[in-house]
Amino acid sequence: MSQDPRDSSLNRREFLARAAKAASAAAVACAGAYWVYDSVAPEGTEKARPAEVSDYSIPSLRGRMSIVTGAYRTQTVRRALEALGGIAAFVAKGDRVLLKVNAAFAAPPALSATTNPELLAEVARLCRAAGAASVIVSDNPINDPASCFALSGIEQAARGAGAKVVLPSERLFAPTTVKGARLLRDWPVLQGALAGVDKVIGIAPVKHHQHAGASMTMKNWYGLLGGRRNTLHQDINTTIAELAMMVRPTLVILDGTTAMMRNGPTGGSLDDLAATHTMIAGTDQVAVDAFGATLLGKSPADLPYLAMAAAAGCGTVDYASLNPIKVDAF
Amino acid sequence: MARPDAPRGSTTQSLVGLLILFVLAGIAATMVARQFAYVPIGSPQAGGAPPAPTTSPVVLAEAAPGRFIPQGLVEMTPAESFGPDTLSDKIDGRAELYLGAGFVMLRCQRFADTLDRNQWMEVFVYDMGSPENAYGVFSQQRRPDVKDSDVAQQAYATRNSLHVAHGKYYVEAVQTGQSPRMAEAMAAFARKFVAGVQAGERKLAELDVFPQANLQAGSISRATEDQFGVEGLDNVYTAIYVIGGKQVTAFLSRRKSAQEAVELARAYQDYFLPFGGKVVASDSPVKGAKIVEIDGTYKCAFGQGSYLAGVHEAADRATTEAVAALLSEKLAEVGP
Repeated sequence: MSQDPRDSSLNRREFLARAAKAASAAAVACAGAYWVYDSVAPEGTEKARPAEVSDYSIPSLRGRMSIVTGAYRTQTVRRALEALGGIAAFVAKGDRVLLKVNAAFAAPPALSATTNPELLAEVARLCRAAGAASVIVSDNPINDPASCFALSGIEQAARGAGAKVVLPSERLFAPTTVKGARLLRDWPVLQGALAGVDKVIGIAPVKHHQHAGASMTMKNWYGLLGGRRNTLHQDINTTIAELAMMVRPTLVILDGTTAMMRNGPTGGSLDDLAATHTMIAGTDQVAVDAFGATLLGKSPADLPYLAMAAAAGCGTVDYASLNPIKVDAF
Repeated sequence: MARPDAPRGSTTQSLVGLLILFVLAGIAATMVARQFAYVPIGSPQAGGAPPAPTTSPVVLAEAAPGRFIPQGLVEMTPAESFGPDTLSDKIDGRAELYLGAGFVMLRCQRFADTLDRNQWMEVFVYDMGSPENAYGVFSQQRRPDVKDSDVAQQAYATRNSLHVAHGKYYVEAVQTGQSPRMAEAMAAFARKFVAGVQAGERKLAELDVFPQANLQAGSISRATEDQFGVEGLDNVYTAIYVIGGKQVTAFLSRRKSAQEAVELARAYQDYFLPFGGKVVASDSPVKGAKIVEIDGTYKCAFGQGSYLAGVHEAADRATTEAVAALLSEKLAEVGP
């Protein structure tokens, strides 16, 4: 039977033939897609396997804490360490020590937005006196690293005390995954500063933080992160808790000699500061920060990351349960 | 050779078919490209190094700090500029305050004293997009017990810093110490800035509506969003009054319409009821002012013209009524 060429209607046979062709084409396309699909991301040129951060804590010294009141940092930090058994309890002869400072901003020491240089120098000197083979000072600041270390006075203080300043550079970062973490997975961490280190001591000021509530020793580890870390501010409490999970330090020193009470973490005005005259040292960073919160007029419950870190096994919010040694150095 | 009886599609059908094939081919090519594209550490996707702040010619724009260097200072570091994506690279967690208040751009630079290079200041010029936003960040960060400065209509100085809201700009100048010479330089910078940057004609009307009697100096502040926890209660100005030795917080907000003002006043009153708030009897002459007592503090809100006004925290009913009456009288003077 002839058919008008303008008639586009199909008969049964033609429909089946076309359907078979279409199905074949779809099958070939799917097979091709399956062939090129790779469920594992390509390795690229970087190290593909995320590293971890070592545990630098000393098991026999867990749960130690001292609180010293006084106005002079060199004096109060010495007394705080003496109360814990002296620096020799933490730093052995030949140790390589990393002092993780807060050099986040290119701000003068008077603004207390960064680790105080005199305090840093004293701790570095004590480490050297205890026989440390080397003392490294490092941080990945928020602002330009060279400016931060110079203008904060940290660089000069570190060098003057025989410590070496390690500025962050791209090659010093390596992807790192914190065990049990949700956010800090395959995240670039300043592993180069930690390489070969035996002991890690965190030294941080007590500061109000607009977003987190407070920035103290746990938040200080943020300075080991690279990458677009500001995105972590979207879940700042989890981030800080995971930072505590990431770094198990030998010791933390929280400088509450002057506390930034408002407009943190940068501050900017001397009127943001209050003389709180307290130096805290301890091996439990959660407990140390929990006490630090009180210097800002907050309770530990005001900082949710403390309870989260405690729940993750990083320490205790109930700092009083550690029976901290209290010293009056006035 | 094609069979003469084979049905043929129209030209339109062929073109549509070809178009679909092209789209499919494009999708396939994109998928293949994405599949094999390595995202290195250092790129934003992988959490690599953050983009560097720009030092582009943009900083030489109207409000670039370098345009207003006073005598006795020299540039210490290059000008920097930061946008919403990079602001936290400069001020970290404090960025949230600015980003939530309409932040557009930050330009900043350090300047050193020509006589003593160890004395320096850093100037931050925040473009907040509008005078309201600039006043918001200015007022929210105002330090307690500081004096107004005469360098601008909205300005105050602390022992080492100067803070100015001028037009859509919020300006901070921070010096390393407490050098009087540097303090003078900061003031000179601010005066040049105010003279050189047009603030625009727009006034913040709310600042003039608050009655002056018993008003605590420098206490007028502006919040951008959900003030007092009440959803939709944005663009609210608060002021603190000291009456009989007790502090009272009053508030004002200019709305789009009188109806919106009344609806927000009702929402404010209703907000506290589920939390134990109780409406108390009142003979306030202010129309629509319903007083709510909760946990020993008194609150009220009312709409008058296009303004929402009220008292957020007062120790007693009488004070609440008195402040509400003062606000209402002032609003009546201002008009709708």
